[in-house]
Amino acid sequence: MSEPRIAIDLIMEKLAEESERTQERFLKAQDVLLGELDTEIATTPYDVVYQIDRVKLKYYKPKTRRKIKTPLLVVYALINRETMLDLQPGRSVVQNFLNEGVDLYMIDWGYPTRKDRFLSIDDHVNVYIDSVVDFIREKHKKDKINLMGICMGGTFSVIYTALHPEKIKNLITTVTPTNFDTDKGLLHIWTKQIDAQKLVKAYGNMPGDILNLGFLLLNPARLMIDKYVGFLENIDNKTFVENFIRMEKWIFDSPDVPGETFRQFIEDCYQKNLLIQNKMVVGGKKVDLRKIKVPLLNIYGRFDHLVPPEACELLTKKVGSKDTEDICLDTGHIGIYVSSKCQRELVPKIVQWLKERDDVPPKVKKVKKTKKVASKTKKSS
Amino acid sequence: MSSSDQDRKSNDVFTEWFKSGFDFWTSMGKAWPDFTKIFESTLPEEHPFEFLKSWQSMMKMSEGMMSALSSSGTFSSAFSGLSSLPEIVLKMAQKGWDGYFYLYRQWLEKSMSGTRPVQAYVFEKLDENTFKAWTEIYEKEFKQILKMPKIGLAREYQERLADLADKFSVFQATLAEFLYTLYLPVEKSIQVVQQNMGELAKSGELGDDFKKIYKMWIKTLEGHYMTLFKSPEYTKVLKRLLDAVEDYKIAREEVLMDMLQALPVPTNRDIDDVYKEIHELKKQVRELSRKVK
Repeated sequence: MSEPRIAIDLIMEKLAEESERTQERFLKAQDVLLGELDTEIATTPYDVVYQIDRVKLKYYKPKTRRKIKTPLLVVYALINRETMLDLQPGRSVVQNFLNEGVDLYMIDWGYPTRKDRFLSIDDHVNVYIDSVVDFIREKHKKDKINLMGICMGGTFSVIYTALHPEKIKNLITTVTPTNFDTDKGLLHIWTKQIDAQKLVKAYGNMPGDILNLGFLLLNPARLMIDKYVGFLENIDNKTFVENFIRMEKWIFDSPDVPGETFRQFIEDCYQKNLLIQNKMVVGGKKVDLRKIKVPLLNIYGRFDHLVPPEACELLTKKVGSKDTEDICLDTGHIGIYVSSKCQRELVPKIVQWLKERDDVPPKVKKVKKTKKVASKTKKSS
Repeated sequence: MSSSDQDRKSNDVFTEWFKSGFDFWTSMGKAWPDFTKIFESTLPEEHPFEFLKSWQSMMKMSEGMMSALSSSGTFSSAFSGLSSLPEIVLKMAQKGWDGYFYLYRQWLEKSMSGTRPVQAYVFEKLDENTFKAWTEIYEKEFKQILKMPKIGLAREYQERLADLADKFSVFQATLAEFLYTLYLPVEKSIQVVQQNMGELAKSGELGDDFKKIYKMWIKTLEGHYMTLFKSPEYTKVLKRLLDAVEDYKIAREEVLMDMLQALPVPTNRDIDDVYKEIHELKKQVRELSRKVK
């Protein structure tokens, strides 16, 4: 007759096995961690072709024949850095664009210091973005360029297009908050209570580390515990460790946000929700979304906990353009750029969308407008 | 003595040991209600003996495990497996018991000073009383001293120093409250997982996979955090903390700037004035450049 086996017995055996495996894993991990690791990020070559104050303009030359005549400017958020779009070879939005034959420009906002505390949204939109757009227009001898905004950079791009519609051919917004009157994301709940004025008085600029702490607190169980348990479980896997470190490098590379810009963004957008109501004033001018009549592609993540779909999807209904499209991807805020699935989907979709609108000369566009060829569509993929 | 005699003897010793241990903790559990009467005034009114639920669930889980362990042949079965285990497992077991008893000691100490309800995913009753009590004492006793009118040539400096002491105290108290609030989901999720494990052990479905238990815990913890973070109570605590941090930082810098006045170095206030001026000048230059073009 077999001996009765109880859970405690099995648990002890399992513990023994696990501890042996853990020992082996950590022995192997020594080799991995002490050996050479390739954890560089943003390795795609570029030229800094323009600079104004701390703001640099990076230019990436396409690797194949140009498929789109109009250059594309990517405006990243002031929170974290644009290096996320070029995390590693094979997982790089930048490289995907270059492989598709796009002339790619990207704004590097740099690291604001105390002297930047008085820079407002007006300075970022009407000075920095505008100067950069003018530079690209002049360099390529084009009246208009394509503009793509990411998160807060998307909000800036929307404001810019509304204020300078004559300089933009097509607008792409990705995970861009424009409607802040929602309680779906914790950020939207918490920021309602923040005294931004006092925060800026105390800190000058909004410290990146405090912002990062806030992001970690959105889901401490996953971001502060489970993530590192996962790391320990794979600590002997060189590729995993390299990718993990790359992500850590990016996540905790957090420049401070200029104080006045932070204050205005919190008060005018998160607390008063002025942008979507066409009531926001930037540089003395009212931002009227109805003035955005260029084609608009609006992409966001269904599981985005920072900028939930509710914060993004209203934009296409509020702009004056008849050619708009919403795409909701089954992913989160960062996954949209770094997940393998989205890597395959995001850039080809954008390039195809741009290509369809690239050769349309102004007079044909008129016909298109009158015929209303492109109607508002809502797709989910 | 033959090896089978030795096995039987060690089996008996462990059975007795477990049995006496179980009896001790069971009687302790039964003794609790009387014991708590002593501390009645410190316990929350609406949930006077809520912490006992955790105790009871722990005892139920223990009961299931003890009865399984004390059954005939169990120890020989367990130890036949154990004999092949490396030394590290024994060390781990020892550490585990140490941790177990440490947790119990912590829990007992805490339960004597009153505790909160153990209802999963509910945070409407944050244990604010402790922090409120401290704040009240501070406001009534200490703050009054700091707020006493200052006189003389250095009165303004003294005022700023007293303000710093005040803001620092408030910041410390608020930080403690915030950290305690963040700890609540950890405590609650452990209790929930404990209860689940007890039920699984009772039905013989506990299994041997620690990863499953970890996953159960992390999922529960995540859920508890989500519930907490969406609650107005948490938002209030967060706002209080942010206000306190900002007030403290502003007060600290005011004092530092007083000190720096004696040194030949510019303060943040001086530098900010210059930065603001440069910012305004740059704007004007840009505007003029546009007009010239």
